[in-house]
Amino acid sequence: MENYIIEMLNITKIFPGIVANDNITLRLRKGEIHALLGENGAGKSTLMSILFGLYQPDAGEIRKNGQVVKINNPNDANALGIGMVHQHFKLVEIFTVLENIILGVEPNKMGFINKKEAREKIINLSEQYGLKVDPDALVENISVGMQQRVEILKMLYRDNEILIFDEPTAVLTPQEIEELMEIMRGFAREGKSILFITHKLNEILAVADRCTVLRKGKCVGTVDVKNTTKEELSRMMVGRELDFNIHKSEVKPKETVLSVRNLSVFSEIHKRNLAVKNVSFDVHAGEIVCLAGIDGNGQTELVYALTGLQKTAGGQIFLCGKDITKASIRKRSKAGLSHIPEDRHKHGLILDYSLEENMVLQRYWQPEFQRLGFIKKREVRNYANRLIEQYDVRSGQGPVTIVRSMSGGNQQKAIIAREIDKEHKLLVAVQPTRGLDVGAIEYIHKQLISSRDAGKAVLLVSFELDEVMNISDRILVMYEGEIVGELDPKKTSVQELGLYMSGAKRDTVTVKEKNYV
Amino acid sequence: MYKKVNSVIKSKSFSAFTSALLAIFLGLIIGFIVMLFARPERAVAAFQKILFYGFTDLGNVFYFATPIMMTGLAVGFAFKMGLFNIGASGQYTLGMFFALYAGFHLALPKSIHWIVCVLAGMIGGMLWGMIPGLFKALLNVNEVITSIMFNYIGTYLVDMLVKNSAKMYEPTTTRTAYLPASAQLPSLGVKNSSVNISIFIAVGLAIILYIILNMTTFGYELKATGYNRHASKYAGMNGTKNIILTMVIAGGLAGLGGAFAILAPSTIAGSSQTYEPINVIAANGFNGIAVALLGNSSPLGIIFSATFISHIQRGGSQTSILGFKPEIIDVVISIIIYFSAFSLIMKSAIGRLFTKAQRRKKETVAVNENPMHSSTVVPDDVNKPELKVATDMPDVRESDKPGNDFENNVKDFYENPDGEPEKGPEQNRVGEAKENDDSGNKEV
Repeated sequence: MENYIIEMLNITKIFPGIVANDNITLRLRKGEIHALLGENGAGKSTLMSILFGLYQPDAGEIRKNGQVVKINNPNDANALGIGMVHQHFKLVEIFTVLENIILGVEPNKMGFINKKEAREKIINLSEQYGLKVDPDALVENISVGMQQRVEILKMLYRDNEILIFDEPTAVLTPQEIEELMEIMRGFAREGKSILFITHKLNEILAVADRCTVLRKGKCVGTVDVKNTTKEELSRMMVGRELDFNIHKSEVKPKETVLSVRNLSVFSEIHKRNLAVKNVSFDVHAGEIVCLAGIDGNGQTELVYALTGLQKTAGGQIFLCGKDITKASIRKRSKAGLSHIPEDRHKHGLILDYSLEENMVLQRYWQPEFQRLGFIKKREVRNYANRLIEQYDVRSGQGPVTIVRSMSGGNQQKAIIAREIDKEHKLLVAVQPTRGLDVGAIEYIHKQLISSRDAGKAVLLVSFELDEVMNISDRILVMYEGEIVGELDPKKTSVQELGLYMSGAKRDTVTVKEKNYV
Repeated sequence: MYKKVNSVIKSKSFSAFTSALLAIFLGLIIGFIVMLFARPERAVAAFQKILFYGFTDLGNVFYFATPIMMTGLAVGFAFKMGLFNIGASGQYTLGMFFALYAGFHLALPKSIHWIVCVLAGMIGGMLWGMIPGLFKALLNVNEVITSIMFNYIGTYLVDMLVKNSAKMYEPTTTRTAYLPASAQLPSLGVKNSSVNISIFIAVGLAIILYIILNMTTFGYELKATGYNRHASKYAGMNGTKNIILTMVIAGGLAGLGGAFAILAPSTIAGSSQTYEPINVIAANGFNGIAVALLGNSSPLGIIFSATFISHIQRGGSQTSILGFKPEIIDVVISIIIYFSAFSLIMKSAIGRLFTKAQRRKKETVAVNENPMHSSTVVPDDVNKPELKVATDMPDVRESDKPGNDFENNVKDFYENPDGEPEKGPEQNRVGEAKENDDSGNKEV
């Protein structure tokens, strides 16, 4: 009988219409790094939420050191020494690092916070584990990597010994990921036990001792990472052989479709700062240009300016030679701009509308779908049915399904169907695969490539390095609102890309006026 | 057959309907308890009056239903776009004043005089609705604030203008003078009742609004904006134009309500409805909010909710015969209306009840089937918002709800925000107004 620090035995959790966790057993040894692998929707987050006390299991039990425990809320979890770094950090941005770390467990004397004691403990911890932070910096001013270190320190400050990391690498550069891995190994050496949620196989092979794989709410198995391969893990995760290589033909760029000249845009959040500074680039028909960079380096604002959601502060945007810098969103759409937005719930869909109503969101005003202001319901229905069939959008009730009830992958497919089917010359796709499972990602990549092969210009904004490297024909790296590098994905490496993304390396990029016609 | 019934039960409008009924039922019970406290021995008789008197006086029920139906439509229509039109009272008063003015100052034949007066009232309301609409659309001033303030401005302005007009004001009665008969609406000839043609106009308008909302591109844009203004902007809809247009229409509806109220024929020959300028904001405007809430902002629902509230009010007015102070009856009516606002809570409660029952049914049937298909809801979408709310860390996105649908607005008072899309950390800042600045479609 081995000694496990945490055992989750036969956990079942049912949500309306779905069994999120079906009889899952997970055992965590003391001092190991245990990866939890699975596609989106496989039930990883639910399982960890149960361990962290956010949900109650419908069946099954949790044991700590062999004792059955009941975790009703995060405070219980905390008392048992379980801490979690959430995928989206839970920090108070207007507080300092120190204030965030002690939040909820403030050392106090008669109600007065004793910051001195807290500071000493934090400094000790950060030295012990190599977690560099500035206790007095405001969280809103520090980098994402440092914010993550603050989250980790929060767990350590509470003397947690079981640390849950929920997709911690999604927001980091390759260098930062390397650092995080080192920190995790350090924890394991100190005897802390780590649960590491991810869907990136390389990271598991690099750092984990064992790995439990979930698929569709069920436990597929637990394997020793030493004795397994990437292929085996992916087969366990997806249930079929996956083609990691993306097949695409040689790039044949043609005429310039989009050209951006000296574009500046104000920041969405800090209204007076420029988020995009004097950026110039071209996108040609028949090529996929990828804007790479860490989230928050001006990509969002750049796309907003291109698509008309935000005003420009200077510079010009040309679509097929026409100046659209000041054109309305509708005019840009008519001129041939399709936009797969970053936030599909905020911009891409009207969640309370039916699928068919969402399918004509960009086209309802066209004569095809309306006459004298009255919507032609039958045409809309036929059109929606065609798109649903052609793009394999799955939903409960077909065109009349309320979009809110659809899965994220199918919501995204609906947007992609709408934007690709619409007559367009330029497709702006912002993180089109975010939060989707491997199968859907494969599908969307194929669609982007076939759009390119059909002679459209594609501008892809992505934070996923694999996506950047595999899909694009040309990479533009954005750092702090400027384009700091233009790379050829065939001639560069992830490491080099990371250096550009973190600002460690930069070139002066000039637009080479090319006419491929 | 079962399937059909099931789809009706699950439909949105059905749950809105049942929740409204439940709210009414609860309101009546509490109202009855209040009456028991006030005058126990007469409470049952009085309660019967409230419930059933209206049926014996349908003419007046419909007569009093007309203005609140119009203000209800004014509020509900704007709600559909996510605009909280609290200014129905001011628009109502302005409409009434314009109608009065046209009634006194124009000498026209009977056949068209009242029509002109009604149209004048509509224009008055439109003007008063347009101003907050312009402020909202062009300068992004919150429509709640401007429309409330325009209630005061409108009321005082009208009272001042009425009192200063020798033609309209009768200092001896401190009310407006009698309108010429040609300006009064054609009566339906019900005895002891002022019920008139305007009830048909109101119902007709409600049906037209229903058609606009559900069959036209304008309605499509309007609801889209109400559900999710970011997405409507993304789709290239002209938010500025739509906000102004919606507020103009809403104002026009409330203005018509005012015109209908003041132009109604009197039951006593040679007289007319009169207005007393005593600087009180028209209650019919605020009642319109209750009507819209109870009717779930649906134009067709508002027809029924306005009739119901009028029915209760008629019955309540009769209980004074049984010795109830009018104030107590106002309290009881207010409680019923107040509970009608809870219909949204009821709705989610009923929804939960239904899903629970269904889940139980499903569990027994479907546990062994493939639990997840790519078409079903992925738990991430469902769970993560809850997860966010449930943690000990403060949730910081109060200001950034998607869409201002009035349901969301009201619901958010009572429960945690649900159905929120996940947002990246960079969008999660505290203390920073997060707005896109060029549509004029934002809030202050």
